[in-house]
Amino acid sequence: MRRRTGAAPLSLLSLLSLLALAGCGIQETDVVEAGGAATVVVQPVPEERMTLYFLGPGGGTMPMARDVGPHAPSPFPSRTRPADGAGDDRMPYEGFGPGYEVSTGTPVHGRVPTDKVLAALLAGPTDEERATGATTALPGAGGWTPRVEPDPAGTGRAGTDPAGSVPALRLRTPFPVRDLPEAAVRQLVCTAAHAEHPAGRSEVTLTGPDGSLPAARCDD
Amino acid sequence: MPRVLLIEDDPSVREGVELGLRRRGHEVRTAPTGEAGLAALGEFRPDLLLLDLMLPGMNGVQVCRRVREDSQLPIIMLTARGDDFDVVVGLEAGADDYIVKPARTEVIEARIRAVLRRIEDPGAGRSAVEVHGELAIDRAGLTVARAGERIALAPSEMKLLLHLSAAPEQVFSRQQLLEHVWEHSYHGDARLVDACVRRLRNKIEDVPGEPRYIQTLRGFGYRFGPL
Amino acid sequence: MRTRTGEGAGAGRRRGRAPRLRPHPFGLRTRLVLAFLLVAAVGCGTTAALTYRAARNAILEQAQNTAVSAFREQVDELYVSLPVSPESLRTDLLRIARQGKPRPWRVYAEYGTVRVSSTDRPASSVITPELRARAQARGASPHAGFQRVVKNGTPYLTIAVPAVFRTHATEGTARPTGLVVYAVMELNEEEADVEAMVTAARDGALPALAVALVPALLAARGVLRPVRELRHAAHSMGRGRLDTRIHAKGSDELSDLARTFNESAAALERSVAELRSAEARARRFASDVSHELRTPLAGMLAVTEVLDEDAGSLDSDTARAVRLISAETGKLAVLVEDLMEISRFDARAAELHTDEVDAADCVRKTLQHRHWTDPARVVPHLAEGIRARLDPRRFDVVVANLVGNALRHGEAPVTVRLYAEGDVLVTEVSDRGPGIDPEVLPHVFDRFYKADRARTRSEGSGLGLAITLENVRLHGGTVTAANRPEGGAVFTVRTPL
Repeated sequence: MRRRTGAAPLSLLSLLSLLALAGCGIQETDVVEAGGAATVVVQPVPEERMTLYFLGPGGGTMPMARDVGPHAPSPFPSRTRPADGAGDDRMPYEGFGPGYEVSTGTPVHGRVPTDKVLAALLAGPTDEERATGATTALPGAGGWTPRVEPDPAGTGRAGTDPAGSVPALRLRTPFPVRDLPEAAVRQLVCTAAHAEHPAGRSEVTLTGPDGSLPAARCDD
Repeated sequence: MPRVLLIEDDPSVREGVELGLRRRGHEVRTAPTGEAGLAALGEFRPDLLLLDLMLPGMNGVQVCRRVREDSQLPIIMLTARGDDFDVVVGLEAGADDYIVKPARTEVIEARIRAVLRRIEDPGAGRSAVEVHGELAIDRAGLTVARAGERIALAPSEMKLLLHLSAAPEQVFSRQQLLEHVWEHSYHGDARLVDACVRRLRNKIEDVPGEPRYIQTLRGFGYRFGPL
Repeated sequence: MRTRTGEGAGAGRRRGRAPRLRPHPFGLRTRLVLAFLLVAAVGCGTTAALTYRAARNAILEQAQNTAVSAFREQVDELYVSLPVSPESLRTDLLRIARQGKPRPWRVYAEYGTVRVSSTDRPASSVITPELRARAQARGASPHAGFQRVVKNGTPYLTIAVPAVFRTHATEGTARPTGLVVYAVMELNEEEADVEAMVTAARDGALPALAVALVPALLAARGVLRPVRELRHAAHSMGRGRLDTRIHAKGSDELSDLARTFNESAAALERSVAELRSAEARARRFASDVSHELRTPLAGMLAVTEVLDEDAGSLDSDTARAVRLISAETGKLAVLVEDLMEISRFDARAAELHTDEVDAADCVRKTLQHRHWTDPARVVPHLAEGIRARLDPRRFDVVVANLVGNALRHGEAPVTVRLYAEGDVLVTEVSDRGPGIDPEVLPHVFDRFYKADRARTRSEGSGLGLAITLENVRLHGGTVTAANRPEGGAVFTVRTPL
């Protein structure tokens, strides 16, 4: 008797659990990670753009690529074009492959100088950029141009390093840096690092009137 | 007093019955076997035969048949209850009555008297001979003739016929017949009546299977006629 | 009132009727078949479930993997400017949506505050916040992800692919662009496939179960046939056919049981046969003894009169002795007759010579014959005109025994009632005595049963009521003994008319 009463529910139970295990139809799942992100091509090409790191509505960085190529309308707010107008000198430009030349009068002589890029960053997003939700956490600088100098602390590993070691630079800002929000620091560091080095691997030290922040890299 | 021949093989029964009957004034002769009994029959000329059914050698039924061949001597069988088959055979062979052993002498004597008793004649004033169809019954002379031919009837048969024919067309139950003809109790053995009726029919009826004189009323009994 | 004690012939042979084949709701057969089916069901179910699971996962994984990699490829081919232009993005999304694999999908993009989609709604309701959070996670290298969502019963596959860009053609690192592209694909077809599989599994399992029923029934039959045989045999034994045997073949437990049954039946048959022959011997002995006693008694009884008559002339001691012998001889003769009668009943040699008689006449003659005519002693209330088929001699014995018994053990007046009840003739003999002790009541019809142990001999043979009972049974009737509420015992005989 005992065995009979024991066996039937047991087998029933196993049957039920099996069915439950199998489930019926299609079940919901959690989020499943499926490989890396997609790499899109950003226009214009890296040699003809400068990348400014603004902030998205979620607080994440939202890079903006401004055309600084030959046909670019004026990538800089004002007075970024040199007034001396050495204008129509041409020089070879490897960005489009061998045999091409670009005018030396444009800012594209390999790259836009870092202080100019930073000036553009401090000037804030354009209307078009703002329309997509881009913001900046940096205080306005009122036409101030930051000074960029090689970092003495990083001299040991600074300079052009063929071995790929990290170049270091120091940004001198007119505003205090200690109270800058983390996002603002990231904007400055990333923009400077990428302006200085194609891979954005430079180590950046912010120095304001109130002192310096620790050296940082644009790695988030 | 009637003369009684007793055929009985058991000495104690033979002696006891003989003693009892003799005390009551009967003249008794005994025989231990059927053969001896038949031999004594002619010489002793009894009024009645008391016959044990279980006899060594020639048994009671055979003796009964032999006697009936040429005589209407009243015969009473001695039997033990339960020997039912023997009783029926004995009655068919022509015995008039039977007594179950063991029986007191007074019972035996009462039966003897009953068998021997003449039918008191209810039709005393009427003519001696009644005629029913081909049957002529002489109540005074106690003879019966069919188509002028005299028929030998055993005492029980004669008494039964006289009793029935005295009241033609009247139905008598078997219990009544037992009481009046055999002087048995109401609860006696009805086979006595049936056996006697069968014997009587064999003698007086033209076709015993379709009786005219002794008719059966199923569930009630017998009656004489109507012719 | 304890009326039914001392029951007569009616209840005599209580035949065991064949046991009805009760349907057992959970009988052996049902259980065997159920067990078989359960095993088959578990087997089928397990196989089907596992197969289904594996196949379903394969189907879904293939669909997902195809969709995710195809989607990523599509996104990989995007050219964007930063900030992303919603107009060109929409064009791109429409193109991607058309090229969805394995089926067109709906594509959504989020960029900053910009929401663009390939449909007329800018944002999708099936994309969960978790997926969004995962795709927009801050970090150097965001990951793509997917999620299955069921909404309103429709399963969807949602894929999120964040877009990164290289900061330099050759040595740049990947940086998030802030653009996340989502694809939403209905999994209808996959669901249909999965459902088709469930249907197929069920359609396969049900016939398998039906097929399993056949061996189940065969096995149950194989097990149950010996059981049924055993039941029949046991029942047949119960009805007295002790020579019943089972055909025992094979070497399983059931045939062992059958063999054991046969051995037990043989043993039982042997002992019953022995008992019966012993009983028959005992009865024959009683019959023989009474037979043998009868002949000397016949001689003795014939001379008792002589003794009685002459006793007066003997000296007083001899006279007393002689009278004693005479009286006891008479009683002995009655006893032997009763014993003979009883042994005839036992041997079933008693015959019934029925005649159609007037029942009242019959009883009246019995009373007359026994000289029970004093109305102070015996009061007859006899319904007239009842014709009954009786053996007058045996009925006389019945009535005489009952009335004699009432006169001996009860008190006068004894009432004899006779009436018809339907087609049953009822004869009732009641007395005004103290009644019968309830303890004695069940035994009044037993042979030689003495109500009072101290009284070693009663006037009767001690067989009177036993003979009464047998005679009534022979008539196919019953006789019962009881005490009347107003006092006195009542014996009731019921015989068919």
